[in-house]
Amino acid sequence: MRKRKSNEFLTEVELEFMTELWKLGEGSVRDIQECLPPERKLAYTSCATIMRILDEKGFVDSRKEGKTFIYSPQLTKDTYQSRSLRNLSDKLFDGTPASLVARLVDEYDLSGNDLDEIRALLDRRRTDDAT
Amino acid sequence: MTLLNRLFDVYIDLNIILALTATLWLTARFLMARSGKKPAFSVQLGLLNGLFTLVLLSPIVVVLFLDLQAADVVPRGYSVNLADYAVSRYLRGGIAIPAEDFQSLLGLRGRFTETVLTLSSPAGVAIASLLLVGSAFFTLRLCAGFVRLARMLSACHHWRRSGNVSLLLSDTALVPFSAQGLIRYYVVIPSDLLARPEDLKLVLKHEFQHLRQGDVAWEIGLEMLRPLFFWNPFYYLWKGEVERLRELACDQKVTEGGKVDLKAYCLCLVRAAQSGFRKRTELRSPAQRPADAASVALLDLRERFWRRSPSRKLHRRIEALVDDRPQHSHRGLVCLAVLPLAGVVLLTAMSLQKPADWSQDRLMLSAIVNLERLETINTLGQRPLR
Repeated sequence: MRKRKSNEFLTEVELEFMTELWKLGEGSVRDIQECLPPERKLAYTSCATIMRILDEKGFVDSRKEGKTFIYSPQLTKDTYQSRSLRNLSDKLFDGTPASLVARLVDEYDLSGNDLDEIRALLDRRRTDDAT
Repeated sequence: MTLLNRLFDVYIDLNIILALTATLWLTARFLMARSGKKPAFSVQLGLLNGLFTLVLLSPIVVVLFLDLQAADVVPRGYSVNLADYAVSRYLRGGIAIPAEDFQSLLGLRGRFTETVLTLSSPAGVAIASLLLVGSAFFTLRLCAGFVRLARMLSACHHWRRSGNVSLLLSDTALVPFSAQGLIRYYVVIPSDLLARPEDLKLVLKHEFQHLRQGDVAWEIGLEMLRPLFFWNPFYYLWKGEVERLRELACDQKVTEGGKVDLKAYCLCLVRAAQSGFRKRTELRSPAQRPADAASVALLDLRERFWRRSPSRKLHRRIEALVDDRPQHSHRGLVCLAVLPLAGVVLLTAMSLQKPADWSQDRLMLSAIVNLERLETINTLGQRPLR
């Protein structure tokens, strides 16, 4: 199948599908459809179309097994998280990640454990930078 | 008369006829609303489009009529001319202004044409420049719109094909819309809509109805005329009416006869608007925003100068949908209205033409003007010297 020039980001529905595929590791359209909440009531053809688009965008790779296409992610969830965060930081926080973190800390009801974890992360980063 | 003069005359005539037809349409709309006999929106849209076609064809009809008259197929007495009528009224004392001023008034249009075409005065240069620059600007904008639309269509994901209609999925389209290429029709659906199967069905019904009504072709036609009529407020008024009626007609056709659940349809429109507004905020840069030229969208989300806001438009559409007063086609009434309306448009086109030759009345007016001038000259000698 001819792949189009890819879009770097996923739409809401595509992200939902990718999240299931990341959990599964690999799977057919039917496997992913079964993982979706039952209230979604998505037709098989719609699911197949979304997977085809993900394939065209280069987010998944497909191989044929009998009559079924088996899809596997082309990039990890971590990689996509980093890409999305960088985009968010550039577009919405004028390229200043510190503002993004500040907003996150202000807006979210972070527990003491969360804050300790963040502090530990920052300390580790500072130590790494110093050495 | 040169070809340029003739073309400019046709251009001025078209603008005047469009202004008159728009005024007639608004009057007819007001009368229909007052009488309570409001035809179905699709019938109103058909009437509006028919009248516009007649406006555009009126110069050809006039030329044909004049040719038939020249060939003595149509008697010469069957002609109407506004200037001749005004002269006749003047000679009968219906217009009380000095003869010279009246003649000057009659020649106003001719002088305007000469001023603009020969660039003989700063005003003429300014008007000609405005027309040329405005037309060039709107032509370029139209071309840019077509290019943006073509780029957007090519960036879409192919979904399905039925006959000469292609269904495409887009990540960037704010709302579903229909477009037309040289051969194919396109219905573009935001890919998120795949996750809402019920809305998807309703949206497809709506967009297919637009294609059946020929709304995309009309939109392209009207947009292509914008470079010619850009300065005429009646053009914008007309286009606004077409945009309003085509959506109302489409909604009415999709929901008529209880074919779809009215509440579900209204909620689908609201959800589409919410999703479109959210996407519009996300796509901050105008370059990222999808094309809006030569396409007909489910909802118009553009904030436009001196137009109703998108939310107000949606409010009116939903009001029209839930209005439970029966709306009949009133085809008989419309047929009765079509003839006088068409007659007035064609008579106006005819009456705006320059008179072919000097009538008795015109000779008389000219004689009066000359006599008044002679009298002025003769009385110069009788005036006391200071």
